[in-house]
Amino acid sequence: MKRWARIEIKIPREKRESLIGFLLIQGIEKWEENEGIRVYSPWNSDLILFLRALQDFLLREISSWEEASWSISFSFVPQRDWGREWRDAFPPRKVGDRLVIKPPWADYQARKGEVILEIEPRSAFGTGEHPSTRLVLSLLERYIKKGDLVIDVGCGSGILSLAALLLGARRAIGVDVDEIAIEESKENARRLSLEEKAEFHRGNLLKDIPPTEAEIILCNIDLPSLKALFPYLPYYLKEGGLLIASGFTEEGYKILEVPEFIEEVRKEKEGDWIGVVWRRKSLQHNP
Amino acid sequence: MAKKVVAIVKLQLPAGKATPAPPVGPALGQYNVNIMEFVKRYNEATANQVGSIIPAEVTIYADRSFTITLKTPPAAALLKEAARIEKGSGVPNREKVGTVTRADIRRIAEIKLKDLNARDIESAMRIIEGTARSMGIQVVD
Repeated sequence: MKRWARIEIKIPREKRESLIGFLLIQGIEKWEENEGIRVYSPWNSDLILFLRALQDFLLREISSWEEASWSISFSFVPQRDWGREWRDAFPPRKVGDRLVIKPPWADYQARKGEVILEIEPRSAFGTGEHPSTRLVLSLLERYIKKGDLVIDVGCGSGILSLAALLLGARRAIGVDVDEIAIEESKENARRLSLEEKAEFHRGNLLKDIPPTEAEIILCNIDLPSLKALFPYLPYYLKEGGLLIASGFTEEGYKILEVPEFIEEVRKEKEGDWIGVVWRRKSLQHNP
Repeated sequence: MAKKVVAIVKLQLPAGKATPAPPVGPALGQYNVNIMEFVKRYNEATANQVGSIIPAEVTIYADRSFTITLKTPPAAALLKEAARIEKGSGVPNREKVGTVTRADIRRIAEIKLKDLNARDIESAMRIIEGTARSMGIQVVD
């Protein structure tokens, strides 16, 4: 178990931003703020380097007349297995009728017909914890057919693409603006040995993915992004293809402007979140 | 009736990437707050800002429930972003680690105006410039 040290630095208010600048330059990205600033460090050689750098910073910034208002205290944090709390918080979780999402470290005995989706819980949208992710997953499970081509807009951890492949899709194309999301998606695909069937692109759907004839588009993104993309999504679907979307509440659903050659097939709710399936009709509309 | 506030804890965390490790665990654990619930709620609320540091003010009530208020990133973090510093030099003042423009300083001063306790935008800009200097960031026109 890692031992942690706590360094509490009390300084005059006007020096606080400089201290924060110093911490960031040191690569420290989290701390607690009260009357002082509390930095936590694992008890290892990095701590010594940090304390030396802190000494340099203080010598540079402090003037003798204000010495009395500065203080530094050092203490140990009561030992606790923080990692274990993290692991315990992600038990295997069943979504829909067949999908079971589990972290790599959890044991789970698959029952007949169940499909196990192993995902390392890291970023928020993609651990299967969020209602909107679960809505899309259960709708996907219901509507996907063997051999479908699936596009996943805002793929996050890749959870939706990978679920689609496990449920029989022939190919999944994920796109996300966040580079870390793409890395995580690829890593998750490798772990499931699905990297041959899954491709993940960093960028923007409209700019970076040419219009295709997908059977299913999955779209679990924030409402403003969905609103902006919505009119163009049908061009990525073949006739009769389905758009499965979530990431909005009833209020958001009401302000979505549905393109005319799209019809609603199903709408579901979990908590405040809404998941919807729309079908693409023929582009030639009859008067 | 309003619930009794036991403590207000301020945490600076990387958006979407909080874990129960310190500072989160010890800071909230001492008030018996459900740490994982905080981590999940924080990460969900900041998922679309990954890459930034988003401070959270956690108000803890007598029944151990809590509310999270998100704040704007510290000026130093905005400066680091504007100067595109990946790691930064450990020795500010001696090495220039990056540059920002006057326009960057103004933009950051505008974001932070409320928190800085500054009279006007000019004095806020002076404070931000001082922070930039102490980080080894040069300000250019």
